[in-house]
Amino acid sequence: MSAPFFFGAPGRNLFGLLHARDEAIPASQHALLLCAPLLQDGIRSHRALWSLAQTVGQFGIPALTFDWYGTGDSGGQDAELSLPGMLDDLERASAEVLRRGEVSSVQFLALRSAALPLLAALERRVDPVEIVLWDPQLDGAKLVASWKEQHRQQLNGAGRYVNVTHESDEGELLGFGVNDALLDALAGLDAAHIRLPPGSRVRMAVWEMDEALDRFAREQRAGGVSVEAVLLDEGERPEWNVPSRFGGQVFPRRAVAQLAQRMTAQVPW
Amino acid sequence: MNLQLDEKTLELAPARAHVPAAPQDAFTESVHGFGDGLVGVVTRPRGATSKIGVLLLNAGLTRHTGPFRMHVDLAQILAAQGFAVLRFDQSGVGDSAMPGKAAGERRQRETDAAMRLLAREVGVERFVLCGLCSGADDAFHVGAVDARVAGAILLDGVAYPTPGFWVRHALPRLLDFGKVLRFLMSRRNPAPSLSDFRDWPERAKARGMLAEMVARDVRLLFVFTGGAYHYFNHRAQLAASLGRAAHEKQVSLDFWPEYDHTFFLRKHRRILLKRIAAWMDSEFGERTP
Repeated sequence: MSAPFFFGAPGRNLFGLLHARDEAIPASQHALLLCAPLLQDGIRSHRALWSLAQTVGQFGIPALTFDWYGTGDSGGQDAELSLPGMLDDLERASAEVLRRGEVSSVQFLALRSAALPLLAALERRVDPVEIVLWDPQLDGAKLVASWKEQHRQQLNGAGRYVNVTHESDEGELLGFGVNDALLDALAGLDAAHIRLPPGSRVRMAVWEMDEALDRFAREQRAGGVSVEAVLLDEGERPEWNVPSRFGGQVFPRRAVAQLAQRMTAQVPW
Repeated sequence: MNLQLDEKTLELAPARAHVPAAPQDAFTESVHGFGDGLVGVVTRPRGATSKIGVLLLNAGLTRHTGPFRMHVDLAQILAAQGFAVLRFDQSGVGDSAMPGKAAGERRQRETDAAMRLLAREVGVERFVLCGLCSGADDAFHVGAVDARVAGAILLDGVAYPTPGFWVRHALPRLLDFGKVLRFLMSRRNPAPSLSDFRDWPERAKARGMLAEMVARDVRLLFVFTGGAYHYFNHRAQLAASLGRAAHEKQVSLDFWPEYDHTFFLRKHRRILLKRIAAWMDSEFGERTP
């Protein structure tokens, strides 16, 4: 079953959905907090994260999906999404799933661009953390550049408009109001330079290893962090950056199943 | 009643219906699990609440927050006008559970659960259904059979190609050899189009459904965008395909060929939201008899 609720500081409502077994006592001593990617990727992949959380929750591990402030059902306008705000949201969501799940620790999962705010938040911790990065985008400058290119494609190259051209307003990106401060903050993040607490464990689930992932893994291992990678089925790799697919939902069902099996320890990493 | 409001007209609309973003103290929101595993958010006015409530239906497989969060903005704007709004996910979409029962009456069953929730929470008695694409299809189907439906807002909703449509569609393309070639190639191996995923009744039945709604004095706002260019390309096409009922005063029509299907740009969403707010005010506002 899943239970929706609002949580967070007064005047800063966050939407959460806790996926858990019907029985009162969870089978696990840890919970899972799932972090959605930003902007359109968050809308496209929502059901995939829901499904993963639902499967993990049914297995006895309380799993929380939530909306960043300024996104989804949470309070605030689009342009209020900010990096400091996301770090605060993560702290509150983490505390909320611990409390509601009645468990002693939390593991984190971030999809795509959610990896950057998650890693930035966990860098501030002292105790080791456990993270799953699903198809992570680890280079903030490249991420922002890819968003701007996709925005340009949507306006001029995706066939969105018939016999007419349009310009977007200032502070608008991929259909959302986006604050320059957010873009600047993200562009300044390079996950390879983020230092997680020694003893932390990072698992990466990716469709393909690349230079940025290798560099991230090397740097983290040098800092005493364990990093493992699982390759997902290349045949269902989502076409994240294809302009004509921009409005479509993304549901790589085999990847969801693979991740759920590993998150619930049915299959080793 | 056929209205064609341009951007300037909308900018001059009455102040009450001219809200780009609702003031945060004008509404409250509460989250609900209801029905058979459904999830939704009720946005309610802080002040006096109309007896007409609004249900926002899923646009295809997009979560209840709508494309680019449009449903959140719309709910808050309408709540600031005095209308309680429920945005929710149908089963198997967004935050709602997979359907637990046979699919047969799923649409009616889930819309009924949503109406009951909003009635219980806020005390509304009748409803306006609002949807884009498949959400418009759902609104059309439910509006035709449920006496509690007082209005429907259909964004790129049901309409059928007519001979006039094909003339307007084909003539400019006949002069473009590349387009003719691509069309002929596509006929050999046709890929599914958006129309293949729509849930439209037979045309004759749709005419009857619209006539039935008009006879019940259900108010309808049709908005067609350039995203519907593959089946709708002229204002006159609505009546040509759905019959004389489309000319009745209960029916309003806007045709915005320069906009896209999901209102990607915020300035286009602002126009749409103002149009809906103005229509709600004129059809169901306090001053409406």
